[in-house]
Amino acid sequence: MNSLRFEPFRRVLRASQHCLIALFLLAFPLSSLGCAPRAPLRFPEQVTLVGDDGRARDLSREVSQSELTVFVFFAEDCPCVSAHEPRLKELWEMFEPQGVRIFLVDAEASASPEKSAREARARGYPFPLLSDPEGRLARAFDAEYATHSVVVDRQGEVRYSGAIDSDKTMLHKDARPYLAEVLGDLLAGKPPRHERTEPMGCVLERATF
Amino acid sequence: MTLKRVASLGALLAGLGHADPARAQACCSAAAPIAPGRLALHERALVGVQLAGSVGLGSFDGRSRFYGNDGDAYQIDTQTTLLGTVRVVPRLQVGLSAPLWLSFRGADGVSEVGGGLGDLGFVVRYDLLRNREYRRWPGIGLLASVSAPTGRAPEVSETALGSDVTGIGAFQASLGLWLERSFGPWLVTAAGWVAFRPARQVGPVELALAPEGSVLLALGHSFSEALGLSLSGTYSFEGDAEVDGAVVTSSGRRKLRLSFSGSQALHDEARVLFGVFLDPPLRGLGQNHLPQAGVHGAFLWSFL
Repeated sequence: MNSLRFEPFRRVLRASQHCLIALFLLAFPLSSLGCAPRAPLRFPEQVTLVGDDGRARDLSREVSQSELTVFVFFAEDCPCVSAHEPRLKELWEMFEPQGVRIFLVDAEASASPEKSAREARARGYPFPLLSDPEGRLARAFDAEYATHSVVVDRQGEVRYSGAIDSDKTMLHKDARPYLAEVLGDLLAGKPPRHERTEPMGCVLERATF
Repeated sequence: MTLKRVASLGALLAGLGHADPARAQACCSAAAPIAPGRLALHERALVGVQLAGSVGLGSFDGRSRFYGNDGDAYQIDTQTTLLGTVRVVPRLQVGLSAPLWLSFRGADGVSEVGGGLGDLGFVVRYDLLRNREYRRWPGIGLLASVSAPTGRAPEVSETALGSDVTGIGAFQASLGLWLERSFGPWLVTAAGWVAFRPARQVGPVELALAPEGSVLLALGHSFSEALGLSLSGTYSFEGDAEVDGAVVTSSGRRKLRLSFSGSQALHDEARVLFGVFLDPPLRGLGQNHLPQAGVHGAFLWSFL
């Protein structure tokens, strides 16, 4: 019976350790560059979307009538959306009395007012769920993922674009509440402590290229 | 050797390939079992260790006839693979795999143990289109990989039964295409890749292996955002080899591997994978191949 060779094990451990360290050192800075946020955006003019109540809403007007407006992108099957629903409802309870409007936007190709009505009713949303099957708002805000949240001020300027918080699908008590912090700062007349974060949700399904 | 080569290549390429049913997208938990080293959406990097153990069931000859193990013959292989993957830019990820083999062989009263470092693998995946990105298109991933001959080649084996063979003895380059499409909680995956090996000198002769093609089909289901299961089949085929420019008849290889595997997320940054696999020992389903049955598991830690 041949003896077990230990030297190759030591060699592979050393080699793989060095390779992994080199790979990480090279890739992390590049990764940060690749995920760099894009330029500031403004709310598009003349956007009318139908809500879950069947009513067409002129969003430019709605934005101009509210202190701050939050748009959160929605996808029916996305576990990240489902996980964050309680937190969105808390945000609504906390900030709606202070003049903040919250809209969920179904920007997937399958969006329809009927689907929005069904989903909003089933999930007990206190805020409107808009249907945007052409993805106009998603394109305007460069939103690729569900849960991507955008805060727009009365002048139509985008003040925040990114994640609801630092959680993905499994919520933690110590999560960083980006959206709540931004809304609190802006309502207090202070510059927001975050302007962009990386949203973590499901890919929004678009109809065409 | 043959079997290790196939296992290494399959693991390398599949490694990146990649409840409440109404609220679970198949993209998230059903993709992980068939592509252990692949980064999920929003993950920037991962490290992990994959363990696999298998027993040999016999062998297929050049005419695809299956023979069970003779008498006291046995073949047990274990593989521990260290995995690391990083996202270079949003759609591009690169991975490294370092397999460690430990093999037990026995036949005709001889038994031996051998092992060591296998062939290091480096794989690149570019997601041309992500799953669900467009309604009428599947997710399309382009794969390229290279494995380096860091393992022990068969021709330099020092054991009678080849338990110390851990590599193919040559560089190997592969190109592949990965398609996936989710339908609610279901995920359908189809992938294919071709591996090329340069001709090499083995003793007094020059050996040229034919390109090897592989096709993978998988059906996965997400039971929740944390649990996904997948059934997959991988068919690999290789033409006849050439020795000093002359084709060696019936030296090609074929292999079918069926797998049932799962992924359970522990939290957003950690998941475990588990599964079983079988190369059906049925006539016609293999050629010049040693079919196996085995189990595998993995622990992966990712960085968001």
